[in-house]
Amino acid sequence: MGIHALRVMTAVRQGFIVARTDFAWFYTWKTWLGGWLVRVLCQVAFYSIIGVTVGDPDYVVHVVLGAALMICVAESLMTVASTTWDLNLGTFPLLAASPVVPGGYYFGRSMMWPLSATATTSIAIFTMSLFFDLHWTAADVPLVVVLVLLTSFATYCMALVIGAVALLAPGARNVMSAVVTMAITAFCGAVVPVDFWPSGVGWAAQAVPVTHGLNAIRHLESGADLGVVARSAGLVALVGVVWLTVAMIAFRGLFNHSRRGSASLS
Amino acid sequence: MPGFGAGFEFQIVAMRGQADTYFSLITAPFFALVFMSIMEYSGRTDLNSHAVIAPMLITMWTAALSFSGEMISEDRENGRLESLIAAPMSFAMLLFGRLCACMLLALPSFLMSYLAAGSVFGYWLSFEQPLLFASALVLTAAATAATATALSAVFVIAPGARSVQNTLSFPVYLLGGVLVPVSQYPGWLEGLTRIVYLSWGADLLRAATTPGAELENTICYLVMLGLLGATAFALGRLFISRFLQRARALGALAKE
Repeated sequence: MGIHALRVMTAVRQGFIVARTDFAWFYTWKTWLGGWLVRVLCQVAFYSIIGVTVGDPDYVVHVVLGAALMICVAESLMTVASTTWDLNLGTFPLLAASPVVPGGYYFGRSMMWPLSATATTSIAIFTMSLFFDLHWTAADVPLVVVLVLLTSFATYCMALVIGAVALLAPGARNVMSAVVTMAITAFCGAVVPVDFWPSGVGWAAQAVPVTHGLNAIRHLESGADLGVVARSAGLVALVGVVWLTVAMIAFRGLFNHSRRGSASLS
Repeated sequence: MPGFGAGFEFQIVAMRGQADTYFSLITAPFFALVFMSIMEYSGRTDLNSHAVIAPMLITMWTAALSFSGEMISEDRENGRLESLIAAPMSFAMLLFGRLCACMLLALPSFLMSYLAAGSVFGYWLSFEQPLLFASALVLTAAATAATATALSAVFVIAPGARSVQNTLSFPVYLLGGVLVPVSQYPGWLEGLTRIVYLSWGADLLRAATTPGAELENTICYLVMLGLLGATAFALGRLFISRFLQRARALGALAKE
């Protein structure tokens, strides 16, 4: 392993320590289970009841899975806010002065969100499967969790790029994540197919990991060939890697900017 | 109502520069697009009015949660709380006035939802019963502000409750039947939803904007909405009084 790779891994680990500590401050097991998880289940139930009210059983399955995967989007996008926390706490200049690899640190710094998102989304999918007409074989269960994990992390990579932008306008962090979450809910196939919207919207949706994550999980639920599922999963990973690369470049640029003495990031 | 007007005026000025204002508003047109797309895609255009009304109710509740969370804490941190308590007015009414001003956000959110549905889907909501719409809107806004007054006191009495502040959104949207009328829920669940004021307000607002929709007893709905709002405000006054008593006894008005 090269020296740079080792430095990146160290930065990720250091960032993850902060992530773990922040998460423990944010939630206890009681508030995560009794608060956040209940909220998540209510969100999926909210959209599912709309599906039941307006559609046929196939549409209900479409909406239940769409609403469940939106949980991993919403939770992973909490990264936008947590990316700015170092700035708000005044520790960002210390980070910029340290020899940390910026992209590596930020990849670890908010990792609590995609990990929590994987748990909440998986629980939501399997809980809602008890009430709605979703079918999984025993072999599907680990595949669902892996697909949710993949989608959460790919969305996390996208959220890191938005987080980098939020470092320049930290007051708008919650507005940014809310707008992106709602735009993804509307246009990326969560409640209506992507081709319901004009073709330009459909093309833009291809750059969003969860568009392909939704395809993968819906193919799996409908019993499609595993090759088809793997193709969509591959697209999730590919889009995620592109976002991660952009995030790494963005954080390096921001740190270089700060290290040159810019006051805008202090 | 000493304190109400001062709180109302103060909050209108304060909200202009607060990120929470824009956070509460920004999701309304997106929710309208999401709900309208569901109705159009599934061919249930008879429910389009539900899709336009719901984002406004969501904005009201989001604003209630966002602003109530830190209202008393900010007064404390900024050193205003002691002066406000000493002033010859009701602190609960001041808070209620501030939160009523926050409810004004319902108007631009409704406009954005209305325009999103009209410009994207060509659906322009009609006001079948304008008087009923106006009275239901005012009562729902007042009940939301009253509930937020109670919440603001809970958040300051039990700081631990702040950690579940962000989790109160969708459970209330669901139990309040902001999009799907609670009468379509299973019987046991409908009973539970009827203690949530939003379930009455949402039914009234939909009845006022849906052609051919009639509620069996409109007055009963208005009275229930008013009663639940008044109950929430009474609880808010009680919680605030308890908080102030404890803070005075401990000499902790300025800080914990």
